[in-house]
Amino acid sequence: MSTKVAKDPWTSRMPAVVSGVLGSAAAAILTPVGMFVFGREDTANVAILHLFTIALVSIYLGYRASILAAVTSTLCFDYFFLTPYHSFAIASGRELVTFGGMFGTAVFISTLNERLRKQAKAARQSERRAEHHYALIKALAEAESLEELCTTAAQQIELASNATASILIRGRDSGFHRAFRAGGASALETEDLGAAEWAAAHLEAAGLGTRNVSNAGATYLPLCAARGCVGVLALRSRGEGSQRPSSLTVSMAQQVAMAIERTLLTDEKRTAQLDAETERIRSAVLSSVSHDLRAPLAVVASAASTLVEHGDRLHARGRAEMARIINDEARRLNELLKSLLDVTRLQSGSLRVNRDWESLEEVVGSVLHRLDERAGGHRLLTNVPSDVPLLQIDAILIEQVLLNLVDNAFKHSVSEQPIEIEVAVRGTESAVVSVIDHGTGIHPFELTRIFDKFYRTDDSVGGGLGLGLTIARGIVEAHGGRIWAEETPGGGLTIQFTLPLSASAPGPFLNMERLEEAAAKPGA
Amino acid sequence: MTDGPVILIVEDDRKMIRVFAASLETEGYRVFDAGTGQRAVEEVRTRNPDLILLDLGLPDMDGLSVVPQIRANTTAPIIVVSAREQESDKVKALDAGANDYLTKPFSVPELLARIRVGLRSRAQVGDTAQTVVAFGDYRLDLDGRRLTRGERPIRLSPTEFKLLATLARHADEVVTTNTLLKETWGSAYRTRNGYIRVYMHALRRKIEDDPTHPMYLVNEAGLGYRLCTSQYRSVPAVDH
Repeated sequence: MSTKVAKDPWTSRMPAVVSGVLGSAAAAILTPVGMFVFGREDTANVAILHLFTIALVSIYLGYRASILAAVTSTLCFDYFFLTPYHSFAIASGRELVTFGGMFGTAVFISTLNERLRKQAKAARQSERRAEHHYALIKALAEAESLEELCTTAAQQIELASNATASILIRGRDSGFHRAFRAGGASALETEDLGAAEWAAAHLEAAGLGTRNVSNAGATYLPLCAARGCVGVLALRSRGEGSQRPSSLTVSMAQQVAMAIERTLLTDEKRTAQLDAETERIRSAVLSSVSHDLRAPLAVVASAASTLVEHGDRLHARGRAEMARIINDEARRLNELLKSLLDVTRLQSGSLRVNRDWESLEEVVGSVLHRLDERAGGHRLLTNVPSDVPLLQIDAILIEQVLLNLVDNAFKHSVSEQPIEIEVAVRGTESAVVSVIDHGTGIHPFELTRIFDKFYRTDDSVGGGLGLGLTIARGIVEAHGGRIWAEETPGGGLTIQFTLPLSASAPGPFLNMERLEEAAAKPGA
Repeated sequence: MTDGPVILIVEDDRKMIRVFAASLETEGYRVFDAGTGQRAVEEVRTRNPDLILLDLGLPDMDGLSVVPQIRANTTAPIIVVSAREQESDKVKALDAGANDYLTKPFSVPELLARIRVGLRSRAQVGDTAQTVVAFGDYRLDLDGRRLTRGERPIRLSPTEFKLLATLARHADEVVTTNTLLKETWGSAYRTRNGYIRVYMHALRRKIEDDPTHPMYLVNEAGLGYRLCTSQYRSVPAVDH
């Protein structure tokens, strides 16, 4: 019988000897009281008084004390109230019945009370178990990740047992990979992995307080689920000495094991789906890309071989033409490879955003400078207000975004139509950059699809891979911004993107400038 | 032809060397090559080149670590050549003592333009009398601390002058923001990128006709600034 059940007020905190002595004493005190109140002849009332006291003792001091009290009472009763007085001898049959009846009733009351107490205790215990289980189920159901699941489970187990709990997750390779405790992730190194592995391998408790690897610092319970042991629950008793885990803890561990298995299965399924998707995209990319790359390569190869084998038979103009074709196609190949590389970097998550204070005016200026020789008759108009604050961005990447958007605009408009780059500040939250063309525009249903990987409009020109806008979107989103397309009023396409402003931006420019001017005056 | 400037090409791709050497020799340069960083340092010691073209992707050692080793042996300009994936290496190489960069693939005219700028600035290092830098119709007098456009003087604050002077001393070469910060405010300000942006903004408004489409103070994203003088305006922008 466990002694740690609460709500058992007296007996639980008192050594059995003390409660026994108290019980007997209570019974013994009754003798002078009975003698004084009822007198020696009123044996019936004295007996009832004794029985009442025994009932009280059995309620408050427990079974053993009440049995002792019953024995003491009966003996005192016999000695002082039954003839012959001051002797344990019993004179008549009638008195024997009184004596026997009293002792029997006393024991009966004690036993009854004891049984009631046990039932109450069992009821309390099962209620407590139910409460803990319910709390655990609720917590497990709310957990969204393995980490959350394990930390919350450890917390619930700690509430239900007098021990600190941690959960070690076992991978498919039978090794332990991660550990969690009530506060979050914990270090695997703090655990006795030998004992944990023993528990996992034998599906039996190991470590402190068990017969297996009992020199460990904690008790390790295997977390068994349908596919085997998914982990191990480590318990470190907060109390003195070693304690075997209670049946409550064991059944909670069972529940945790099933929840962990469920989460692991969901994760595995998701990974598998992702892998399949990646594989699908990869093969689509491979076939599309190899076609797109082979086209310019074929041109380069034949132009080059023409030069090598027939160069002396060609006119100077023909040779120059071949060389120009090689040059153009090589450039195109380079562009294609570059965008492929960019999108790969974006996708693998290896894109690093090196943020620093940058000026959008400069980024736009740098784009214009780069485009100077390839605008090919297109007119580029810019509108960048001079009071746009500095932004925390990666200038190289944002320049890339602008180049891609402008390239896209070039491809979809004829040379007389100007392309506009506009920067505007919206509130204190963000800067909006727009690239506006007045070209052919696209179908409304394509407005969102053009950002998809390898998406090309039906009338696509210029032979890109359909990655430019995908890359732009990836970069903008990596900066915490948003990108979208809309129709330019009057025809054409406008692509806009936002970049978050930072509250602590240096500037504003004009003030800084004046400040410095003022500071410069006396010395200048 | 035999006494033209000496150029050392550090590159491990033999075909690339052949392409460059062919064009450079037609221009009257004498060309030597080294396939490894180790060889490069030795060649610098023995040949004393006038300019070094250094590919950052070398087989034996990190191209970045070759820059200071070469710099320790010569004051000749170093132009680093990098593939596109090495954006951040470019800044490091420039801060470590390289003078300019080229991103692969680049055209031969571009290469020749960079080499001319490099050789000119080397000539100026020897010739300390060069104190006036002209760009467009501007003249920047480094000693007199004056900027004039035609006859009209342009007022510059001391900080603006320092920035412009630093750029002018390396005219047509890229100057990293780190170098600009160090030379203008001192090394304690090396991380205050925002300062540069703020002052360049003001400077562009004083010098450029269209500050959003600068002709002279050209920003190179992620690297720094270049003061483009009219002489080399024909240099094509960096093709990416």
